[in-house]
Amino acid sequence: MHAYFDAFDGNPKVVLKISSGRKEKEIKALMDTGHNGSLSLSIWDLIDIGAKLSTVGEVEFADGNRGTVYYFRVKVIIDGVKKEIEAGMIENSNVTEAIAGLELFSPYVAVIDFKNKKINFYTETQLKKIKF
Amino acid sequence: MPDVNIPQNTQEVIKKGHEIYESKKSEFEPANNGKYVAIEVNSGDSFVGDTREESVSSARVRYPRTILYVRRIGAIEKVARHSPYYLSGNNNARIF
Repeated sequence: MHAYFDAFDGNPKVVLKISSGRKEKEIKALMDTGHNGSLSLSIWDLIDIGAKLSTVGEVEFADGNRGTVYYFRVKVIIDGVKKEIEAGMIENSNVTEAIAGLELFSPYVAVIDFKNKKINFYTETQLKKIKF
Repeated sequence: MPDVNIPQNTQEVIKKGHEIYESKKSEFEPANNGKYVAIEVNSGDSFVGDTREESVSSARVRYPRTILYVRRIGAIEKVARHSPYYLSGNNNARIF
């Protein structure tokens, strides 16, 4: 998984491929460890790939307000492996940036070097071969 | 608002789903806290899984096309979102 600190806004980002089966596109998503879910996508990305509504759910936003989120069935391709997830829709149509949450990163160990602005993801197998 | 196809009955799905969850709460909590439940609101059938995707996949075997109500068991799921004042490149425009 390619991850980096974006020089433009200073935030950690990951590069992902998303698809609904027909169309595939590459996106950059903000890494957010305060987000329980897998991935939240902009309306524009959902329209682009032609994603279909799958579920609805109640959530609590980080400001304490509760609300509804619409979830769409989306395939995410990470390191060449396709995974089907339920991606939440970001309702604010001004937003173009996706948000990647804890669930998406759960198969990995992340090493975040804040000093040198580097992020690396490893599988447990890869991690055993690395000497820090 | 750009057009994404959201059926009109989704608010009803959320309302019924919430009611079913509350009526069966003792079946879900605390034994399954941290897991997810997918509820088919017409039948009231519920499917528990370790993740959102697992609960939905189980439900899809019986209900391949229905819009399901899904929530985290126990404390409700916390998600981040951009504020209504979001402008690309504005670091302070997200709600934490």
